[in-house]
Amino acid sequence: MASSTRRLRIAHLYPEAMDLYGDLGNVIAIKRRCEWRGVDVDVVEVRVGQPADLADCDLFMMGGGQDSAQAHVAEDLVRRGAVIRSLLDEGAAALLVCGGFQLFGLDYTTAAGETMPGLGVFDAHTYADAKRIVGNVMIEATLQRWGAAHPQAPLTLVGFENHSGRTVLGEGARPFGRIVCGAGNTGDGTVEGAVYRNAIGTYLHGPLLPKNPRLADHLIVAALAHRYGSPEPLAELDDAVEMRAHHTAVAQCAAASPPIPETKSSGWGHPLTLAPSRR
Amino acid sequence: MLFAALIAARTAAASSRLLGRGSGTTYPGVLAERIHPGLVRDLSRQLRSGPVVVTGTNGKTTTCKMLGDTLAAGGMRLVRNESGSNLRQGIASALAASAGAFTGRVRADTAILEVDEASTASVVPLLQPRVICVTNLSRDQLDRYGDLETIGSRLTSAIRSAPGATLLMNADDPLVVALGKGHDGPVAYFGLDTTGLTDAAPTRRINTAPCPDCGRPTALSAVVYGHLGAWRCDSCGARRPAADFVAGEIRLGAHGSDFTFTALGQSVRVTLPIAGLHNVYNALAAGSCAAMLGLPLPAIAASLSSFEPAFGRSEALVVEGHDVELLLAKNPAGAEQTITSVLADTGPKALGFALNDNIADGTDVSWIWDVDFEAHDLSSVPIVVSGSRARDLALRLKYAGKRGVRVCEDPADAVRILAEVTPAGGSAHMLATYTAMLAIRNVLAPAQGRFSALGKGLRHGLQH
Ligand SMILES: [Zn+2]
Repeated sequence: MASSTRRLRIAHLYPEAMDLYGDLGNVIAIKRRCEWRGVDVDVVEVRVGQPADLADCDLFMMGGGQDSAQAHVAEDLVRRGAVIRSLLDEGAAALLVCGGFQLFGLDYTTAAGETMPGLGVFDAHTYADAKRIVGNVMIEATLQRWGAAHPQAPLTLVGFENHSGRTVLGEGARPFGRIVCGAGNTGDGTVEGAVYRNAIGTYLHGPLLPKNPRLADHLIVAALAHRYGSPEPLAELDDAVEMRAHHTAVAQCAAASPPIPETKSSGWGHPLTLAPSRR
Repeated sequence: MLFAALIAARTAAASSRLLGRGSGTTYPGVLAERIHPGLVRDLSRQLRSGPVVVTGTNGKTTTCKMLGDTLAAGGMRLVRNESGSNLRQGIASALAASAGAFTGRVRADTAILEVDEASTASVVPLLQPRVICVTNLSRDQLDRYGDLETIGSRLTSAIRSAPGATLLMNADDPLVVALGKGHDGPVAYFGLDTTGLTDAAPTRRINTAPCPDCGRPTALSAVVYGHLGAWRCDSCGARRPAADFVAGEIRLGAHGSDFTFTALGQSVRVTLPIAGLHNVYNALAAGSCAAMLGLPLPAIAASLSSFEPAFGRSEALVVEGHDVELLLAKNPAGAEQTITSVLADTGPKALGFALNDNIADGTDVSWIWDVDFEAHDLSSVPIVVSGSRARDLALRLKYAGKRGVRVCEDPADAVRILAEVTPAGGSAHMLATYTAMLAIRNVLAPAQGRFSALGKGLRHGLQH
């Protein structure tokens, strides 16, 4: 495998305005895990009102921000909508956390009742609620399996949610995962996030990827498939440090919530199937 | 009723002292306010020079200590609240303790009060401070406080409730400047002149704060740290206000800094005996406030130059024959500054980090990813991580490229390991969140916590 020649291009959307909860850690995780496998990464930082070449990007990453920042960001994001949507339609990957998730939905209605349009990648409406949802979360993620012959084991993911937004998924949206512990999209403890092809929207901070290395690798494989045409497995890494942090968080969730009905070790080592690239 | 309230507060305070509860006492205030609800207002009104409120995310305790020490050296009689007693009840306790129980008279000229940002909205209307000083605003325990906008709106309503107060604001922080917009009383600014300081500040992450006038992201032409510096808004033309109080010609050293303090058309040189640019800000805020209250600049400079840090911000324990410095770290901006000042001394050293996620620490530990560990060369520094979230720290440091990190979940044991791995003749530093720091202190400094178990049980009984 000519791994040293492979490369990825990441669009880091609004790194300063949308990094309230350590979400930069997600970008660090992708960069490191690529670097350790000899995959070159270059990051395009996208800022409000400044030109950025998104046409060649394989992976979009965006975190959460303050309400006031969100309005300016939403405006700017919608202006770049056509190019981002067409890349995601082609199978480019995305990890959109909190504010990022909300703005990739249809719209966001603030506490003051103003509605700002989003990109419409996810069939989802978000409105601000007076009460914040704060706490540890564990979900079982069901990632999109185009043409998979067998149902795959769900992936257990851990994170921390801190949001006043409530996101209601429409008929056309599929959730990212099922809540094991925590509140989720609307606070009712049922579903979390949304998935469109290889784009993931979620409320999980933590940051999400360092403690969930399987998901980080899933995004890398998807992004590489977008660039090179077909998904190829990645070289294994020693994830002992990652998994210890993961298991600590799992134990904390288990201690904080009623017993989990099924506690099978879910999904580690199972290859994730990807949405096929149309390139 | 005031008399009964003060007697009750006095008795409660005396019994808690007997039990060795020491700092953090809030019960006398709770009791006294229950008996006389107008207590804070009635007592603070007697202060001849009016109360001074210091609030903001980082630096409150150190700024209050510097300001209090300076005013005390200048002959003023003070009411002060202890670090950790910065909620409403702690402030009521401090005021009650300063008043004669029989006369109801406050035996002080001013009160230097550290007030938790979230408590300002309830405390400031009662205090009607003469000066409100806001040090800086950055993310701090988001799970508890909500985001900066929530804190900002509480501070705004606090300021609105005290139209007669003079505001002393950090000019370098657009979030702080925004709070002073529309204030009826005078607004004074302090800020750094960072000319010549570029090589002293390692490259660090720049955050942008929204413009106080139009809300769009600001740009920084000179970064101090985080979103602080000489900011400007390219959208509406707003810019950092001219500072009335300036620290310039700053030289940062391993054990202290010196700078020129300019105020009211005069300049003095200050030799600050504690390291770190954040402490230059603290000294500037304290010095500015002292100057506003009428102290001469040479007296201010002399006091700041002989400053001794507040207990609990930085304290030394002797463990296995090594001095271990304990440092409180609770948010990215504070931790970043602490690491920078610890590393300014280039001698051999060992570093520890203890991260708990109890409610008092903040249950959201994602902030460790906002600490720019990547910017610091720790290749020759043994590192020990600890606390209930030790594994998260180990992971953070792995992704920052640090190797050979030791993990020990128990904070007190981790301090012992830290002492063991400290190079001969080197220094040991443990950055810890609040409850991790208490755990370390309780085990390794038993003299301070001798009655803590008993005291805790009793406090429990009293409050329920
Ligand atoms: Zn502006």
